[in-house]
Amino acid sequence: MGRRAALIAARLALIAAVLLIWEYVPRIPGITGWAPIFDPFFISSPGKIAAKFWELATTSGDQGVVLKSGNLFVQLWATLWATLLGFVVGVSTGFVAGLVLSQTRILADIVHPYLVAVNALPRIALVPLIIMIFGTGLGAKVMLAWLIVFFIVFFNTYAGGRAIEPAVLDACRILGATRRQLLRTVVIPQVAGWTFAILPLAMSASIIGVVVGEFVGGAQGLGYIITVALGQLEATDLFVALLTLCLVAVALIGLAARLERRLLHWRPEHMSHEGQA
Amino acid sequence: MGRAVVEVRDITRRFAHGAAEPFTALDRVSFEVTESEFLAIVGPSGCGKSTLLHIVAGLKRPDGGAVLIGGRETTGTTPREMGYLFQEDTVLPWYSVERNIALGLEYRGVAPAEARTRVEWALGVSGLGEFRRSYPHQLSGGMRRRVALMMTLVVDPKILLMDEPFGALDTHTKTRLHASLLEIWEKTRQTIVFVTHDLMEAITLSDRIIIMSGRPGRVKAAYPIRIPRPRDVIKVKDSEEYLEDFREIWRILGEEFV
Repeated sequence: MGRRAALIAARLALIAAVLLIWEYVPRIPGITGWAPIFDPFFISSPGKIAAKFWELATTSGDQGVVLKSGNLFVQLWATLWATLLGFVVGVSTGFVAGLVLSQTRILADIVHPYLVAVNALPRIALVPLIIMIFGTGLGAKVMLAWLIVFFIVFFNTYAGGRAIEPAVLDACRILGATRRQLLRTVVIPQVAGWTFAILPLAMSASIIGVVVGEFVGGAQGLGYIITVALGQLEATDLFVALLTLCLVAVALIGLAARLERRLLHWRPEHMSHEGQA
Repeated sequence: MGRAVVEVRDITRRFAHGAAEPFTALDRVSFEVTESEFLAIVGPSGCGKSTLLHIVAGLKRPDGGAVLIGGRETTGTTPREMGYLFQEDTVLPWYSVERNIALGLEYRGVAPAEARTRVEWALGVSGLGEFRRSYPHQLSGGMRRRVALMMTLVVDPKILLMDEPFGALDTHTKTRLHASLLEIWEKTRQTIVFVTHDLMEAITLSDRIIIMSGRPGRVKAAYPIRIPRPRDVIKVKDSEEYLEDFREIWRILGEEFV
């Protein structure tokens, strides 16, 4: 058996062990007496979760106690769409702001303390304000995702713009570069490199923003299902939503990591945040 | 002797370090470089030789004195016929070797056909042909230095300023780059000002060495190197002339270390 096959076998064994404990330990008579965590009322069971997941994924409409507005895919889509919007808007505005401020010293000196202050504020504290302004729809979720993504991308891009080696700029100027040529061939590629490097992190930040938005002011989405499931004490529904969210997050962050590697093909592998696949 | 292409007249430069007393980094430094001459400037670290080169290139302004290129005063500006090889790695990591070398031609709006010919020449003489599509991170330090050198040479500068260009390399790689540089220079014959703290390097490459004193930086002596060209960068170090020059300059330079 090759190293890789052994690795996969070990991984499968690990997840199988967890699922078996989760499924069968709660069936031991009297176990919940001294270990309430094993009460299926709280932790449901892998069998029930899988059945519910399958049911919600294959049928549409009002079967679930919780999933009233359409099947799982409708909820998944709501979260996915808001996350992608928050990501795209956050990355592009963060990139532009980082680029402009890193190249305009005076502007940066003026606004920098305010940006640091807003960034220091826990973004969750802004949720009530955002809901007051944007209501409970897509707008509020995207706004919250943007607030987190923007700052992550902005600070990294800004640092990248400030880290340009003066000798590189001088060398290109002596070679004959105009301001515009310098911007196109040196500044933008350098700054964009620092933006691309942060894409996977920006994606997970966007997911956090959207889910928090759905917790508090959502009428749709996986975060909303989680809160409703909590309200109705439906552990199975809660786990179904968590499982779906996990799959969505892995897919989205994987996508961002692929994008990063693709855009930064010129960079040595070891500098990448996501070194391995 | 040919005519003076670079004239440095009484360059003075002072630095103010915060609250500390301002000190004089360069004190009335004057020298000339004639056409097609390979001039080396050596001196202890902190003698202001890099600052001097920055001033000649117009990247910094002196507090006094003037720089004349081709008889015209250029103090504080960079003439178009000037090339500069920095001690820092200035190869752009996001472009291939080929694209990096072509950069200066692109900036200067050289016609595509002409640019292609020049890039091919550069790839040929530097031995970088097979790495044309590689990215800088895939190359060794020595190879990246070759790319940087060709980036400056491809625009055909009449004057080439080099600021400790091979300082960070091991002896073996350095020697190979010396051989390449001399081989190319024998054909192109730019006027070169080469700053280094490596005396072996200065003697191997140059026609004349200016020895600078430490703080404040002054021209202490100028010493001609009469080793015949073309030079073999390995054999030359074993020749009588080389050893004699080395001993003599080392004696002058040694006074700066006490």
